[in-house]
Amino acid sequence: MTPSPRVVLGLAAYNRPDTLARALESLLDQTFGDFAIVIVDDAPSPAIEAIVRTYSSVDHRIVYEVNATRLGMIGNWRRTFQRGRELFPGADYFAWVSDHDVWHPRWLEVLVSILDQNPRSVLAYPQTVRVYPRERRRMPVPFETAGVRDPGERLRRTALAAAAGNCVYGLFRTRALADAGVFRPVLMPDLEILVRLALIGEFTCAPEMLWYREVAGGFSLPRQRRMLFAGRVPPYAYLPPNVQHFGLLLWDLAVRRRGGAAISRWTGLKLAALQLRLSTRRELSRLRPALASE
Amino acid sequence: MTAYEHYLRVRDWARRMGALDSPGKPARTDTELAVARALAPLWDASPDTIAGLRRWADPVGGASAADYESPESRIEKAIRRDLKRLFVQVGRDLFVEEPSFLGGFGCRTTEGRCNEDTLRFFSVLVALQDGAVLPPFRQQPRRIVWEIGGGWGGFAYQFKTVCPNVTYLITGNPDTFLVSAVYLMTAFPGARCRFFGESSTDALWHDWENVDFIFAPEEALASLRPPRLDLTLDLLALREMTSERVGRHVRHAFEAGCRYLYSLHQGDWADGESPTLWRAIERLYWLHPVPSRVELRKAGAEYSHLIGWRRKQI
Repeated sequence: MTPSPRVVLGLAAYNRPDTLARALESLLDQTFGDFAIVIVDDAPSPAIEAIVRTYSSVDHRIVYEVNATRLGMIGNWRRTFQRGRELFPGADYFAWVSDHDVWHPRWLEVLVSILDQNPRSVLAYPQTVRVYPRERRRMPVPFETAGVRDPGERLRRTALAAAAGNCVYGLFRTRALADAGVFRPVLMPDLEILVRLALIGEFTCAPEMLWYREVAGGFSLPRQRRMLFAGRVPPYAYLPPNVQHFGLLLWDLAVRRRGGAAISRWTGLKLAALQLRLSTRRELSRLRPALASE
Repeated sequence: MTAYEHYLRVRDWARRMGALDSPGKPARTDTELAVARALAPLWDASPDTIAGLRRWADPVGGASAADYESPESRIEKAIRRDLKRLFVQVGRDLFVEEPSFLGGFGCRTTEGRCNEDTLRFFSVLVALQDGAVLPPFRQQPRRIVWEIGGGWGGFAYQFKTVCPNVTYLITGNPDTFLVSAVYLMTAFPGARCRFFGESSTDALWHDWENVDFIFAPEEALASLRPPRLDLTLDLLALREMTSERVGRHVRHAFEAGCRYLYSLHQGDWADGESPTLWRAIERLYWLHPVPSRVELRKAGAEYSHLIGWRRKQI
């Protein structure tokens, strides 16, 4: 068995030969070096393989695997996590990384330090810089739940305010992520996993800008369905995302009593209902300006 | 020691450095020749001249004292406005006021004396903080910072005030040290300073953790072998150089293992004001523009802050 580093970085690759080298360099040049990068390629090509081989030949922290058939984004994200755990079962922390963003050299150093010093934190993430072709923008200061002991309150804050796309590229406590269910086959799975994790522990935001996120393409549910699922889209994926999340939460907490949080069925039912109410309110508040302008 | 005594020491050393006919001696650009002409009187300065040394920063890219002689001028209003905005956004932790010694000038603000240089250097420190570069320089272990050119010493003064636990290397033309080295030695009377050529090249770095400033002429670059190099700073110095000299500086930083290279650019980085400079840096450092906090709106003086992360050479 390979000795486990403290951190596993799961890179779900999908056909970005133009940006992969820079993304890999920014990861390999971290000031905190005790990590492995597990690359699972969902659209293998000679160009991608050549880039990876170039770097893996000089840096043995890289593992490269390809999928025989496309898994889709959810399947591939799950696969990177699963392979990371199989290859390095002793790793404390896990983060998903993309094949097109860049990470500040101190990204891992800062986030590992946060999780090491805060046992209640299950997720740490930095402030984000949005990268446009001719502009860089700082994201608004993201929310956090550091110091909030009540799981219900953490769920409330997460359902109302989490910028899931930023948080989900943070550093997770591996055990907590596994307990929360990794990525589930629903729309907006990043928000779903954050709601689940909120019941297990706290989220801590680093004050520094350590992740430079490429902004490409707008958000839409049809686009998500194409990217997230390989092949046929399940019928429930046409329900509103928050209803899908509610169904999963209800099933896990109130019926199966799983999900990493030691709570009763009745409490699970109440939390699932709370999530549905808050997420509906959040979606309506987003729709209101659009409706008003019409 | 008085400022004038510091001056006499620096002048003697700078004369020797200027007289050296080293093979690495760069041909000066028109801008550098103009600076040398403007600073020529400083080779034979009186104690009174040195007592007002800050006013000689103008030819080395510094603010002009004359702009602050009439109260509530356009510049003063702009400074107060931008400073207020920056304080609201980032607080006062990194702000270092213009000191009064050697003829310091500027408008009075709630936080002390401030001029365009003070504000510009403050915005550089904020960019380094926003770019997540600065925090380690405020901690242990001691680090080495290299400023290319060094200007009149104003940024080195601010950086060393905010991050005392660094050894600060400045390379440049001998005549500019008549301003920068004298300014810094006066600003930090207890500072331990070394000058290239006063001892052997190896001895320059001996016990470096106990040295505050090291001054060296640009032609000494090839023989400067710091035991570590953590940050290279370019505050508009590289843009005055030929591409060959730019490449030599960037490569020197890279080969010394420097992780970050900061470069201040005039204008919007996306407009490609300095594509040659950008390309020269990007061969060895990935450049990342830091999102600006506030535009410094003095006509024609908007700045972009670029932070380069060391690349892997594969």
